[in-house]
Amino acid sequence: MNAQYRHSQPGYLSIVISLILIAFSGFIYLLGGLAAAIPMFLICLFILVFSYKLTVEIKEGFLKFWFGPGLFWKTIPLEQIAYCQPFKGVFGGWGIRYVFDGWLYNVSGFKAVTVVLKSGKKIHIGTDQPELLIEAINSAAHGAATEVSSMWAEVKADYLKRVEQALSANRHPRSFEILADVSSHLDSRFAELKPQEQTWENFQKITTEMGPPAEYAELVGDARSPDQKGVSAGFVIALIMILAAVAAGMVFLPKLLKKDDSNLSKQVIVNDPNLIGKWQTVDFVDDINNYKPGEKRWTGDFFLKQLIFYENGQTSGPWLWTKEEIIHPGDKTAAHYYIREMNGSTYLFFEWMSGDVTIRGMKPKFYVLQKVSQSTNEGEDQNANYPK
Amino acid sequence: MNLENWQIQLRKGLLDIVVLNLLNHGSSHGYEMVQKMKRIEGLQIREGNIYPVLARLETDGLVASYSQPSVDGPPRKYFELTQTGKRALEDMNKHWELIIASIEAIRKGAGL
Repeated sequence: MNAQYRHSQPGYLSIVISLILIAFSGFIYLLGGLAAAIPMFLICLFILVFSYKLTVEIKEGFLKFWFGPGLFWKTIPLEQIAYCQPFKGVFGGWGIRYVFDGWLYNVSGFKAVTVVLKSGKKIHIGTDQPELLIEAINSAAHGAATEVSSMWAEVKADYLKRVEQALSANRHPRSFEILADVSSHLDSRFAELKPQEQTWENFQKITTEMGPPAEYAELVGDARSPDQKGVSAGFVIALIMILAAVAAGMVFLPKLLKKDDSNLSKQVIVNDPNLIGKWQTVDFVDDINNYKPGEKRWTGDFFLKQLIFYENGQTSGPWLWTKEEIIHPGDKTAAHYYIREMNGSTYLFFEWMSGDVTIRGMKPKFYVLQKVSQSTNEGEDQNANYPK
Repeated sequence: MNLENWQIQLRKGLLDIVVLNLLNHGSSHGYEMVQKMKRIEGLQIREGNIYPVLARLETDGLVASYSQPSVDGPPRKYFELTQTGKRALEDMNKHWELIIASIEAIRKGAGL
């Protein structure tokens, strides 16, 4: 037996979010290995399969609805249904949850119908075609449709559809309520007709007296506030998820792409006699060419005040050095350095590998240190602010 | 000039003040308000027109709605004036009286 009604509502938002999270589990796989990624991947896959659509069907005396391919379903005998009406309330998100006075099942959007059972229990079912579903449930629940009631249902559904299309241009937040009110009004008009008056002509007369669908849009106006215009909740959530994924990528990708420097500390020392000695910070510049001896451009305190480079490749700070590179084993960074003779003094330009460089990929700035002694023994290192 | 079109446009323009004045006499549902308006000469509207107007007035906070059980089907949706709506209606009625007086004055040629 064919279904009296069957419709699947796609869960676009859950599809988009699940796919983003599945992609994100790929990042986790690269960072933490398979064991860390599998649970997240499976959860996302489950969410995707569970919520990519919600199907509602009326068949063989039962109202049935299920998520995805049929992972979760619920069946209600039509004889237990008192009536069906538009869901009156506000909700967001998707899934299965308790709202106000009954369980709500939905995968997308903000529309639902409320099935009121004869026991008084209410079940809310999300749908993107509430009027058609209400009509189908009410018709099915109140016995087999007669030819006349089918004809009326057709006329009514056609009118409501045209009103819905007209209102869709305005995207008024109460469009759904207007449709429900108009549906109720039409039912009242139909109920007034005596059996002999229930003709196609009279049905058409009723819809004519209701007025052209375009007038609904004209009269309701555009109630969206400026900050609501063109922005739906789904769009905002999807945008946040995409931005989060991009941000995560910005944080983790440089680390993933960075060469493995774990053997930096084991590197063979290539001597550079020019570097050995004691250096004093004199400036911090964007570019080596910007430094002019005697003209301090940096106005704040120096994080690095002084540094001693020892012959054995050690420094007075957390760095190691070899010719042309200053290595931070903890941060796993290798900075270049350049030594320049200017106005009779020797200057060291030390690439500063801050978070702006290692995480955000910006161009490194330079600490400028002036050589104050060839010896590494004289005095104590006064630099107490080396990064750990 | 198409007189019927002008009448329709005029009625549509006056729907807000008509609906608010109807609700000023007590809560009502859309269908009932349409039936009342049908009985008043010159105010017959297209029946569906009342619902977008009520939705707009509710969005603007001038009316509020609530459900009331119905003996012959689903609960009915009733509308009532809010305090904001009552204040707005007072202003609208004053302005309406001013417009009527002004049009009458023009009709009679007073002050022209």
